[in-house]
Amino acid sequence: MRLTVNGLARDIDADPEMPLLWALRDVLGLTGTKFGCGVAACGACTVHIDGEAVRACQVPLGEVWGEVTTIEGLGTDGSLSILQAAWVAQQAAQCGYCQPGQIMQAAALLAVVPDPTDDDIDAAMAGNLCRCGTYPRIRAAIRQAAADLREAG
Amino acid sequence: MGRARRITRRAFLVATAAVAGGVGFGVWKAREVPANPLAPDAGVSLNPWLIVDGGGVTVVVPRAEMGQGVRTTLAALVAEELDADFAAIRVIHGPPAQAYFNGALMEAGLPMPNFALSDRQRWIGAQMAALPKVLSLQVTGGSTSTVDAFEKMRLAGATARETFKLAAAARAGADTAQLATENGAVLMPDGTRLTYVELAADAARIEPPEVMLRDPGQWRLLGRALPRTDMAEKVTGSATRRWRCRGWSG
Repeated sequence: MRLTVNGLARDIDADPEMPLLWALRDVLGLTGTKFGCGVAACGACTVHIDGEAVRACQVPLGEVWGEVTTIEGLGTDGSLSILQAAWVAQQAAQCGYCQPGQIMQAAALLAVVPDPTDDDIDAAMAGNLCRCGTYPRIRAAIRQAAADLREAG
Repeated sequence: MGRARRITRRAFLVATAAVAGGVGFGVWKAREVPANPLAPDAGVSLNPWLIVDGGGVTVVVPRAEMGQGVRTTLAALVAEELDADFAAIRVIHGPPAQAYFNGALMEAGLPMPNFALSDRQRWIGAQMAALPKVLSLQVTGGSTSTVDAFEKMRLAGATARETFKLAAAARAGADTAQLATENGAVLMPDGTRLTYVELAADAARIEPPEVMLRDPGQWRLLGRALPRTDMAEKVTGSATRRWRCRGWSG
């Protein structure tokens, strides 16, 4: 089947029942999206489908309804997005395993709410767990990114 | 920090080498200096923790990064003494090798907390440090990474720094006492800068001198919050995770 992933059309030869996460990581080699729990309870596998944050471990390939964006589509090591740059500036990550999912969830929030309050952030990010406990720095990074994005217009 | 120490290009001299009650061969194995496993295609390696090539300074941090920040802390140990530009330093994990044995494992394995160890117990731990060395135990865990690296990686940086100064002195006919180091370069008496990259080939041919570690009062990096060297790769998802390892490629 054919999916659009990070703006590119990709042909994927796999079972339509295969979770999108498996296809991204093992078929397409896009390993920035992480496997955490496998039951949509942690948020590590968060990607966008048509801009909406979804758990890639729970979306079968055959049911993908739109364009997929992964953390690789947001920015690269040499060219960070404003959101990722804010994450670096706030030194948000410790082990970093949940952070691609956190960042994708935050990107979906900021696309809808350009100036989120702490309550908005907490509500939007509640499904993304971080065992290192970096929540205060994640919140600071989102607030900084919101300001930077508004400034960038 | 008083004692003069040296590490050779091929590796590192362990202070406490004798195996208590060991036979001659055991003592020899424990004293033997592990070989430097680094053989970079380009540039030179002055010791197992350092590669200098056209791209600058690369530090080998032979412990697993798990969020404890070891790729930052251990790199800073080398950078502090080396006077490298910390913002420009690259960090790699390096190959598995005996040179990277964890000498702090045995003290950590004693059945009481570190702060409660007596001098005698610490001495036993130090003697037993030969065991992970002989067995090439390159382990990350038990809060041992910094304890193990605290002297050896600063020595790696200090020895390299002094070797670069010797190389610069030989090139300019100057005395090393007239030279200073700063941001990855040797400062010559006339104010010119010779970068470590420029000096690397010469330095590789020089027998490393004995060095003194700096007094903590002189530290510029250690003891301060530093930006993590691996932050960008963690926010792009490109950081290598252990189940994704595909062998060492430098």
